[in-house]
Amino acid sequence: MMERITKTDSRVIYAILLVSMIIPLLKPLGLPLTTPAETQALYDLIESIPSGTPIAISMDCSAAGYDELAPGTIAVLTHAARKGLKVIGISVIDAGPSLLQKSIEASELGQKEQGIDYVNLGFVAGGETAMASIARDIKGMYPVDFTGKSTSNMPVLNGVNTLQDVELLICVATGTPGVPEWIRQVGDPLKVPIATVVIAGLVADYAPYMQSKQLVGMVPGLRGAAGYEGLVGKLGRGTAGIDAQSVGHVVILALVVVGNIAYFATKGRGKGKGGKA
Amino acid sequence: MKRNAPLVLSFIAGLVMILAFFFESQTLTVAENEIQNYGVILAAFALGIASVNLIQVHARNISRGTTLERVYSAILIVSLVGMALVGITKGQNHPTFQFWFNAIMAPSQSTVWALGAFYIASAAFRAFKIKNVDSTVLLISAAIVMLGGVPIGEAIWGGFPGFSKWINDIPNMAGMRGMMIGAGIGAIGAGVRMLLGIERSYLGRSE
Repeated sequence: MMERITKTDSRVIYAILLVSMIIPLLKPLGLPLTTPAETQALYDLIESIPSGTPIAISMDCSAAGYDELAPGTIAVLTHAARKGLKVIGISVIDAGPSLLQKSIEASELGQKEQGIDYVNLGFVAGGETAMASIARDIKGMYPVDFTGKSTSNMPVLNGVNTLQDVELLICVATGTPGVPEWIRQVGDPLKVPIATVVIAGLVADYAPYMQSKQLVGMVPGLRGAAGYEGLVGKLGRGTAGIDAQSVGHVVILALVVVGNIAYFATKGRGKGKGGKA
Repeated sequence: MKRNAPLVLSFIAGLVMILAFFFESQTLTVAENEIQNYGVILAAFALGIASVNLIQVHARNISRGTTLERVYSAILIVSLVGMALVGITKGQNHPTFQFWFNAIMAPSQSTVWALGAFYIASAAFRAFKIKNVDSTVLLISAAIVMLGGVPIGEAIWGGFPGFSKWINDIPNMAGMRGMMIGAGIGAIGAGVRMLLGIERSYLGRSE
C-alpha cells in the first residue's frame, strides 16, 4: 500500500490539486481574513491623501504574474478613484501598459475621464536607467501617452514634471526591474513614498524594505488583495482567490504529510534486497 | 581601437555617474542626464536588435529544423511581426493588438506560470522529506508560513499568522539583509572591475 503511495502518478496529484482549488473558486468558503498590517498601511496612506493630488502607479509586471496582481491593483485603483486622486500610469516592462489598461477598465477609475483623472503613459525601455529618466522628466520621456495623445497640455499632468511632484509611487511588481530599483532611483534620492502590489513569492525579498520604511505599504499577493478588497468594500477575485489558495496550501501540506508517512513506512525495505530505498 | 574605445567610454560614463551622485554640480548633472538618455535610447535599439536576432534564429529553424520546430518558429515569427506591425501602425490600444494581447499572450503566460503550482505540489510530495534536522526545520517553517499566509490557517489555529510573521520578520529578514548587503558589496566590486577595464565580458566573446 505504502509502496504504491510513494509511486503515485504525478497526474493524480495534479488532479487532486486542480479539483480542490476549483471548488472554492466556484463556491467561495468565505473564511474570515485579517488584513495584513502593511496593506492597511497603504490603505490609510491613500485615505489621507487630499483629493486631486497626483499619484503614480508603475505597472512593472509580466503577463504571467498579472492574475495574482490584478485583484490588488484593481482594488487600489478603485480606492484612488473614489478618493479623486489623479493617477499617472507608467511602466518599464513591455507588457505593463496593456495590463494597466485592463486594470483601469476593471476598476472604478475606468469610469473617470482619461487625460483628466488618469493617464496611462506607456512603456519606456531601459529598466533602472529608464526609471531615473522618468523620475527626472516625465513629459520628456513620454511626449505622447499609451493612446498616442500628446502629454504636453494634458490636464492630469498639470504641475507634474518629475516624480517628485507625485505624493505616492505604487510599483506593481513581479520581479526585476521593480521595487528595489524604484527605491534606489526615486524613493531614497527624491524622498517619494513608495508602496507595492507584489506577488506572494517576493514578499520575503521585500520585507526588509518595509522594516526600514523604504516601503510605506504593501499588498502581498492574493492575501493582500483580499484584504484591500475588504477595506474598499468591493469583494472580487482576490477574495475568491484566497479561498482557493487556502485549500491549495492545505492540500500541498497534506500531500507532504502523506509523502512522509509513506517514506518512513517504506524506508529501509529495499535495502536488504539491494533495491531502491 | 575596437577594444579600447568601449573601455574608455565605459570608464568616462561610469565616472560621471559616480561623481554626479556624490557631488552637486550643474555640469555633472547635465552630463548624468545625457548619459541616462543615451541609456534609454540604446535600450530601445537593443529591443530592435533582439527582435532581428530572434527572427534570424527562427528563420533558420524554419529552413533546417524538424517539422515541429518549423511550426513553432513560424508561429513565433508571424506573432512577432504581426503584433509589431499592428502596434506600430495602429497603436497598442487598437482592438486587434489588444485582442492578441488579452486573448492569446496574457492567458498563455498566465497558464505557464500557474503550472508551477502543480509541479510544486508534485515535487513537495516526492522530495519534502524529514531526513535530518535541517530538513525538519525547513518543513516546519514552510508549513507555518504556508498556513499563516492564508485564512484557513487562521481558522485552524489563531497562532499561525503570528508565528508566520515572526519567521518572516526575524530569521528571514536577517538572512535577506545578509544577502542584500553581500549583493551590494559584490555590485560595487563588479562596478569597479568594469570601470577599470578588468571585467570585459560585456565587450563580447572575441574580447
